[in-house]
Amino acid sequence: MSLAGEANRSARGVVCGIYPITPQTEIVEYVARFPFSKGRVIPVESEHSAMGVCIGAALNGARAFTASSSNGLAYMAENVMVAAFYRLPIVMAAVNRTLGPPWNIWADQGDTLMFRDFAWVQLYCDSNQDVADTTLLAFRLAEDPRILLPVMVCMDAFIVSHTSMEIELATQEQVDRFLPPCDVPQRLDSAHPVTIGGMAFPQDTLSQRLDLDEALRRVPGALEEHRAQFREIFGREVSGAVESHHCEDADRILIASGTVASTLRSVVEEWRLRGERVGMIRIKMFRPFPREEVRALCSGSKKVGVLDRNYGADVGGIFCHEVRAALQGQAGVGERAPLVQSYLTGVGGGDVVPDTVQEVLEELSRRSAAGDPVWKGIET
Amino acid sequence: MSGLALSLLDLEADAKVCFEAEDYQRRPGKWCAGCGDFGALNAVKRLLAKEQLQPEKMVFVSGIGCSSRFPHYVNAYGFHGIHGRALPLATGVKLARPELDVFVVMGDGDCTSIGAGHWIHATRYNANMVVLMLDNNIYGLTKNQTSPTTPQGYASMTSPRGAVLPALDPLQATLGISNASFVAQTADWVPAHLYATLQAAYEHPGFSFVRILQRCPKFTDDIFAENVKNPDATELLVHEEGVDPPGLEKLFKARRVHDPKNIDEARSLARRTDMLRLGIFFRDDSMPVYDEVRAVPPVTPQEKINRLNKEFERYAV
Ligand SMILES: Cc1ncc(C[n+]2csc(CCOP(=O)(O)OP(=O)(O)O)c2C)c(N)n1
Ligand SMILES: [Mg+2]
Repeated sequence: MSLAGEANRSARGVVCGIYPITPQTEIVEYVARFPFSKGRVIPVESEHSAMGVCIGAALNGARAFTASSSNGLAYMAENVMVAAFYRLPIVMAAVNRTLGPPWNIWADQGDTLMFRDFAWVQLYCDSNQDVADTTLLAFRLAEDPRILLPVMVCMDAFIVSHTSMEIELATQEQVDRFLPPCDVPQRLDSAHPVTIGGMAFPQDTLSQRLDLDEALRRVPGALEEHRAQFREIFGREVSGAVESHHCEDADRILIASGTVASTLRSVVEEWRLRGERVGMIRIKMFRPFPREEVRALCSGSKKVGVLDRNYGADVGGIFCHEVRAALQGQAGVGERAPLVQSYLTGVGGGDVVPDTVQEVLEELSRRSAAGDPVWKGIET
Repeated sequence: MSGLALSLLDLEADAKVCFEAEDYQRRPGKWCAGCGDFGALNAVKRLLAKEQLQPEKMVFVSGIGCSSRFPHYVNAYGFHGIHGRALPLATGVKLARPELDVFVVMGDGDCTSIGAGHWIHATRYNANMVVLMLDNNIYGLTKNQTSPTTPQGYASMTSPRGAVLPALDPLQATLGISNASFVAQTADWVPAHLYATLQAAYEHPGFSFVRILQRCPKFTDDIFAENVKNPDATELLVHEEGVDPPGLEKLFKARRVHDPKNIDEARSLARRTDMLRLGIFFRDDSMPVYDEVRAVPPVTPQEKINRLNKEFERYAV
């Protein structure tokens, strides 16, 4: 948990607006506890203000960071949107916690996924090491002059946020090499004062949305470059937009994100040992969605099952919705597109254990057509 | 929901005509041992019994926090809302059903931090409700973070080197809002004073803001320790229009006659930091009350027909 805080501290010169909410609290307490050079930590009165502080800082060219979760993110929403719409390279650690009511502190991705149309880059981590490394990567990606978009580093409540694992921490010297002082066009320029926030006509907004879209499209390429730099400086890999196993000859593929994907990994390996042609994809980057990769990986399979720890009203799982969209409507792919079935697993924070994945695989194997979302874990 | 419905039914089945304080306890309070919230709950139960309020005729609205668990423990309708937003919701309840007694329970974070905007406006609307602000000077539920009322220099998890700014004073702030009509301060460790203050708040027509200094044995035990131990560090504001519970004269020797109608004196007393002051700082029953100002008088059938006819006439050809 404090790893996101530590990664942020070592990034130097960061302005943080902080406001606590379970289970994010330890991140902001960490940044409040350890003084950092040139850093400013400002405890504010709400999440809306926490992001407001980050926006003000980023508008002046400062590196900005905050963290939140669940209803805190919901309350922050207006400024979350503003951060991206002004192309501000802010990094936010988001601990995925069920939105209330009813009040529930366990893992569910519905909170960050509500920002799917806000043009933030979203990265879903699956382990403590992944959180530490992805937070550093996030600053680099956000501040890339080709990108200049805010980045959300997401992690499952408690399963990642409140567990420990032995990890490799970066040295300050490495971080300084990877993250030179923030240098973005938003720097205060007293020779050319401007006022931001004027009224716009439809045509202006249209161009601004296109501008956001083009920046998002440059993310996958930039991400790969920064991962290569990361490898060179830190001597280890940080995971990319997707991770896949055994998809080449698989007739059934399971897709998940966050910690659910680590459970898929072990079950798929087990089934492989039994000679079953199954594969898996972990989607780490939700925005921009890795459509091409998913399409290529699924092109040979007959059935795809998507496990979602979130609920999209009327569509089942939100990742599933995106996977379906990626596989449909592409000339030449249409008639060969695999069936895609949505499985709601761990909505509201229920455990997704190997048995759950096992049941999903069995269900998917029996299927001849996709149907309504399958709700796992409902007590009858 | 079903639990609430059942408990209300039970009461009806018993056809109780007389409620004891304990009848208002839905289930045991789940707060830390020594938490001041228990004292507030006890005082509220006593008040409800004194007034013989029907469980189905009152609503307890809260936000989020340790203190906001309150509605779960009171045998009445309850709404455990979202953080900082109890007041607009309570205003909606009151406007829809003015005949219900509405109680609002908030923490210092809920009221003076994330929900501060609503606090200003609800005070100005002056809808008829009793507002309990349980002030333990800290965010309790999230475990020890600085709140606006945390004393300057006091260390917490978010201000490990001590709170940087002087604390926000809820009394001064509320007394500065136009149309404020009832502002009082009491403490969980003086039950007689707490009860008498809630009684006055209930009787006051309008928005009764009661700041209850509340001990948090986990995180801010030391903040009120001196006042709990030494009654001489506290001054009671007394007046025939205020509160002066019998039996407290012996314990609290420092007493000051303060007319709650005197807003200037109220403001100057709220500003002074030499002593802790408990009592009604300000009360004016003549301020416009939102639910009354906006009340729609009932329409008679004849009046309805007249209005319809008038409307039809506009379209007559
Ligand atoms: C929008 C939102 N942000 C943050 C939180 C986390 N949170 C829950 S209670 C609380 C503060 C509680 O402090 P206070 O209001 O003083 O109540 P106490 O627990 O001290 O009684 C916070 C920050 C939340 N529930 N919702
Ligand atoms: Mg509090």
